[in-house]
Amino acid sequence: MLRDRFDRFAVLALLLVVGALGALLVTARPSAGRQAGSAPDRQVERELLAQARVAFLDRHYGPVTALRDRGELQSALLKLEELDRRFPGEPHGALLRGDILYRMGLIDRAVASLAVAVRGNGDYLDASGPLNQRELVTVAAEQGIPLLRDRVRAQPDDRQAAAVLRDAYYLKSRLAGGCE
Amino acid sequence: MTLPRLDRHFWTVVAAGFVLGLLGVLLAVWGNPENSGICVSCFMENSAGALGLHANPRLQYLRPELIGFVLGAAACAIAGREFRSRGGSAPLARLASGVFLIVGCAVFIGCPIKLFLRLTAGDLAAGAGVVGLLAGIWLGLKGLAAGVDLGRSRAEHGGTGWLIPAGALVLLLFLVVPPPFVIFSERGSAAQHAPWLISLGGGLLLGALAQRSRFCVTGSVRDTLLMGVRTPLIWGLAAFVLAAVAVNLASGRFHLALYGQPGAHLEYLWSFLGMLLVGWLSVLVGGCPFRQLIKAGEGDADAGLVVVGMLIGGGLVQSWGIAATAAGVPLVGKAAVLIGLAFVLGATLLFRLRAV
Repeated sequence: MLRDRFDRFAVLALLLVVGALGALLVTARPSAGRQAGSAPDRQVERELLAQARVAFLDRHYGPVTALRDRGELQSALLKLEELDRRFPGEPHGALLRGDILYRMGLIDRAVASLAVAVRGNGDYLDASGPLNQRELVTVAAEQGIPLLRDRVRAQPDDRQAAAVLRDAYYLKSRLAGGCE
Repeated sequence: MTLPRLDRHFWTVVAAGFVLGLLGVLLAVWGNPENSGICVSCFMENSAGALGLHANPRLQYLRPELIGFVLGAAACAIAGREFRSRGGSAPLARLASGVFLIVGCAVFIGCPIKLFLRLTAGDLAAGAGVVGLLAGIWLGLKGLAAGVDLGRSRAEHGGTGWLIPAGALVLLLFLVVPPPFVIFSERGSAAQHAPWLISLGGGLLLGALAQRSRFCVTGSVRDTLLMGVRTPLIWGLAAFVLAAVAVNLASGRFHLALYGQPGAHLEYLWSFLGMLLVGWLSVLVGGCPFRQLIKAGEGDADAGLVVVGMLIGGGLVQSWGIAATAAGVPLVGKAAVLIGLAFVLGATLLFRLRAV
């Protein structure tokens, strides 16, 4: 190191570049040169999307929730079918269907619907999130597993029951936490 | 039965295994996801996400444990005058190995450390992974015996061995003062984490202990297959398992069951194959994902390339939908494991030193 002029030049240039980088970072104003897509933008964008999603679900699925709360479960299911045609693949429809089927006592079908919902959107199991439905998913899985296990034992060829049992185990696994 | 000498090295290995088991569970008690107090592959995926290498909003956090492993190993190696810049052996093969290590882990859902953490929490579904890991290590050893060798690393002038510890320092800076391009999840499993100072402290301690002891999960199994219980490493693994079982039982986290376990799926064949890939690759590159971080901290640029590959892999398994979830293993994940196995077999043929 520092044996000749070239080494000294390289060290001096290195110090200058490091100094310039430090000065740039210290003196830069937060807004100067900020590009779209930086983390603060993305965080805000995410928050906006999350809030917009909740508002969207309230607006479009509100009538279903209202029917469900009034106990008009069949009408709520019919309304959900209509919404499924408008928003195919939207997990909130599957969640509400699971909720309604659970209230109707159709535990196996409720479990299958809830599994579709949770696969589509993990936010339903975030205890602190606005879409939290842990309680519903927990009771459906807890009641569904023994019921479906007995059915599979009694009829080992019942592939549908076996598939729903796997859904119930999936829900239990997701409720237990761990890496996703 | 010949037992190892109960010397200082033996007890260092046992201490490393014990602390790994202890912290592996305690970090989950303190906030990390269930059964993932320490999981190098999950943490790689989280860190890759935080750096913008994938866009899964539930898996983005710079895990301080990873930074701690590298810096703890580097500090310990420097203090013990064992830090040596070395490398130059099959760099691209090692980089690709790093990617496929994470592919195998992502399909199983966890690295070899998490495999044992899952098992010690009563997750019987991890059993297929244990069999796969043992099979992979056995196949790797057969390859070594037949002359498969990526080559020895050489001392390098220019100090490339400092790059990974320097990178870890930069990541530590990003963790403490996040720049605009680093993003952390506010929901999902990456939002679950122990206080960062505790995670970093645990990582530093484990990095130092693992550097001193050379402890490694796959290395323990490999040496046991070669030397039986004479190797101190198997006693380190035993201490790891005992400590993890004890803390899991004490903290009420032991649930013996095949179904409904956290971060686990029921596709046993793919759990087996995923861990087979990890075990085989680990023998080929000289250690499990955890050991690669420790060696990179000691100045091993070859291990550093595996680490870079693992970070790239952490981004790819999420971006390309390779990673398994509790719902099962996606088709892309299954294909990626088979491509990984084809890669190992290709490397086995290409890197074999044959008698003339």
